[in-house]
Amino acid sequence: MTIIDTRDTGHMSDDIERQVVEFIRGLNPANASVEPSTDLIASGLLDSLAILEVIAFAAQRFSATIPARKLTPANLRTPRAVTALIVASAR
Amino acid sequence: MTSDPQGESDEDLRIAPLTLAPDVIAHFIAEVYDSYGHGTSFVPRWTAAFLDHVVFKHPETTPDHALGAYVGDRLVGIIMAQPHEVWIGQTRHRAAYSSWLAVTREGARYFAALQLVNALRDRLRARGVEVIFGLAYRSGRSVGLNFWEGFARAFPTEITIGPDLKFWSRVLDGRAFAKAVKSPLLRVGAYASYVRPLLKPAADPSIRQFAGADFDVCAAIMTNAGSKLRIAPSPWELASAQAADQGPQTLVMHGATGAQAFGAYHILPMEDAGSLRLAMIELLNAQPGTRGIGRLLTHLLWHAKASGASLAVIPRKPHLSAAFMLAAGFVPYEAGFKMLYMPLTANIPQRMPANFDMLVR
Repeated sequence: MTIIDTRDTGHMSDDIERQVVEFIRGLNPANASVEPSTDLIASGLLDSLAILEVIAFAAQRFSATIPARKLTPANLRTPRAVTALIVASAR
Repeated sequence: MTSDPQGESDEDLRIAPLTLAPDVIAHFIAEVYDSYGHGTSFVPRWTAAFLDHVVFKHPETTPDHALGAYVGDRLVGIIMAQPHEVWIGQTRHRAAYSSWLAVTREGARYFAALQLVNALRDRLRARGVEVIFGLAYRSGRSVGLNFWEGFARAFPTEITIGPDLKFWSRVLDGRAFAKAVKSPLLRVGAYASYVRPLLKPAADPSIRQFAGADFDVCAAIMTNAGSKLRIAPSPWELASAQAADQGPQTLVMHGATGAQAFGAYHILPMEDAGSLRLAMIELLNAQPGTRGIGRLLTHLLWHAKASGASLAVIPRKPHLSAAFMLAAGFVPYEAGFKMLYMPLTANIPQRMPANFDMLVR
């Protein structure tokens, strides 16, 4: 488990973002082109089931308790947006 | 496609009350289910008339009980819920039975299933609903139960999966059933039913259709029933629909002192190798000490068969013993069904009681 140190949010966000990207790549092993700014909706890389796996991963790895109602397309559009949601929810 | 301009928008996906005709909704569900493939299991084909009866014509329904997800003008997902009330112990709660979640592949890209579930929960909670129930099963390539299990892993305090829902089943028309199923084992079971065919019961003046005057006794039977979680039926729920395809049919058995037992079934068309009609017997309850409930069950089965059902199923219930069901010609049927349980308020137990007598639709 990674504990988010809010005194160094920028560095931690980068690390979380890297892990989120790697996790999403792992959900789509045939597609290694996932980047922090990849549009997950336009690319169709994730569906509701996959994004739930990401949320469960975030809860386990970062102790991030993300409210279900925060799971909007805007908050899930890119790995960077997902990272911001995780960081905000872990504070 | 119609939509409600009041629906909350988020980027390109919009959730709004469904205002489509029931036949359009039934067609949409069938198309979505078919697009995902469904292995070897039975696929429900809810009719427009049934959806209209149990959701849209329900006297307690609201625009928030049937929601659509739209991308532009295109419908990409739906979720619906039927209002009802339940007893948990001796406390009555406002509830909803939610099923009929269907999302196209385009909708899946927008996480429409998540948005629909969240919108339904938020909207029904705002209307005073305290708990939502549902049912999911794993079959072939269908994704329904996988989605709900993922939801429960991500949000373990907001939804729980289980307990299992197991059934008793009885073939009513072996020839029709054998023609309709893919599984060789089920075909064998269909022909085995010839050993003990359902015979037309003798006319019985003590058994008749539910009438409004029976309601208080039937409601009291459920109030005092043994299952910790159980339906608290409304007069609308027990009043028979015009036809078994359209909604529940309720029969009542009378004794010397009035109504003693009641049972209800509805017809659910299914698709497997071919079409078949399944009779879902949701309710079979009696006052303590009532004798002859087997006669009521036989009449329910005969009515269902007369409505074209080739198979009858009853959810297992604590008060229907194995000995009773086996004597009535039923065999155990386990098909991987799981109950979905979403408490919306703090006064509802975190987990669904294992001892229940609930709607199955």
